[in-house]
Amino acid sequence: MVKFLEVSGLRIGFKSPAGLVWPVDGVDLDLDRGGVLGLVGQSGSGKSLTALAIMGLLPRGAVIGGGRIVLGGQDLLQMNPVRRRRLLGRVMFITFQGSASALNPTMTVGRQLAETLVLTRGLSWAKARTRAQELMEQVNLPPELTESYAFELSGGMRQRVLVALALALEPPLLMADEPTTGLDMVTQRIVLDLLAKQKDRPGAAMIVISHDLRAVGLLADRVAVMHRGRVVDRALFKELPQKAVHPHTLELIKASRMLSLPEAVC
Amino acid sequence: MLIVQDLVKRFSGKGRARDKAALDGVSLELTQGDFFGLVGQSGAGKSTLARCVMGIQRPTSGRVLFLGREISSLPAKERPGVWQRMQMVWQDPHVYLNPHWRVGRLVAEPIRNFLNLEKKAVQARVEDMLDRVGLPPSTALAFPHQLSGGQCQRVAIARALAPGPELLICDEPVAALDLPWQHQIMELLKDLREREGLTILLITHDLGLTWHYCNCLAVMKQGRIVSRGEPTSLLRNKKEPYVRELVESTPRLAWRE
Repeated sequence: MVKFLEVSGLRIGFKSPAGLVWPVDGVDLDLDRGGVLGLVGQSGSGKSLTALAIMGLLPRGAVIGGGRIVLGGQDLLQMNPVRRRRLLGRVMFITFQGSASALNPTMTVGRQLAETLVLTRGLSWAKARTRAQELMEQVNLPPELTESYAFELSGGMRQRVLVALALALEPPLLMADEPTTGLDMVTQRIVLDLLAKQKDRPGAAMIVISHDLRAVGLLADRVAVMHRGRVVDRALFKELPQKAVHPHTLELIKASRMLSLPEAVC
Repeated sequence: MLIVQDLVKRFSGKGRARDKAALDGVSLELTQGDFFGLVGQSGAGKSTLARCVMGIQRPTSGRVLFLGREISSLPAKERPGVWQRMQMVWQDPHVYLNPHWRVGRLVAEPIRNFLNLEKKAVQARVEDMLDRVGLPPSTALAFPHQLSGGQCQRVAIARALAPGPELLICDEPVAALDLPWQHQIMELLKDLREREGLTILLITHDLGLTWHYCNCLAVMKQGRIVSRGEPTSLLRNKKEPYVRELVESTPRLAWRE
């Protein structure tokens, strides 16, 4: 069967005084519609760069040194840049880790939600504003917060606004980059539960990126563990302890176990 | 070792913030050798409590007794004497380690400040401290930006251990670190407690950290302690709705051992 998303042999490099370095060095990933893939690894392992490459939002100076990114049968790396840009928000969307910098500081969050709807969905401004309030309610935020600016909200509220943006767009491919970092446990769980609702949308696929295997386990059915620019282990989440071979993955599993409550405490 | 009695801290502010107490009658007791976990969400008052215990902030009312001395009313010039026996580790080491100093100088600073040692002895103690936190002596030549977050947090712990404290207060010591580093720092704290009898007050939002490490827990919400006790009994106490909410929010892994 043809996969919804297939990344093969992806290499991403940067120029350095010592020549080109390859923070992503041959990554293979695949994802079916309806699937949730957890992309796990330490900072610097290349997981965010991989996601940015899929989105086509690599930072200036990054070089794609090879590989293919095929989404719905189309090779994104061969696509005309104008057409590719039109996929953003319509076909794929990413919620970034720094929720403070991902939102426009000069606009109320309601206006930002509405603008997105006007631009990608062709709604009228009046309809978009009403829809923005509904979306806020769907992520358990009071609708009057549409009048607030991002800096007036807490980190957890901002992350929920990003999830509301994802709800507005209903993208076939949703990526969440470190959705829980910087939030306390209770707020983390609220955000993860909201993301979990996204996976019930028919035909939607999701990639959750995090260093925290415990959080990923709440959403993902499959995990790929990255280390130094490569995927070193991949398995169904529930089979990871049996399937893992790379020492880094084993260390991650041990850490997750020691930093979780035992199953028996309910 | 540490007794906190009915601690209240109010901040003067405008509007809504005015009447809210950051600490609203908190009492705790730590015995020598405890690994005490203080758990709560952001804004629960955990860090304010830590600052009052350190004597950096003055409580509105209530008392803090450390080894029989009252911290809450201690004159400023007597505080360093207390800090030799009680040290603190903060959340993000990259923020509070001076980026212009090498690790050797960073660790030597508290040794010079608190202990009256000769130059050679200071050097020896720096190496000893790095060894205690599991860093090779060559780390002394590195700058903080050359180290990973986990290694930086080890440097911060080495600095805190340098004056020879009996109580270590760790405020979210692993929140800024990747999971494997979080585990390693927790193991290091556990070793320090077991090998050297260090008493540790761990402040965290992550209940998952406490289960395998702490022998006492207290759960804080809106400036009050809503539940306390030994981890097993506290977490199984379903009567307290906030504890239940925390337990349900914390991930559990559905892996068979």
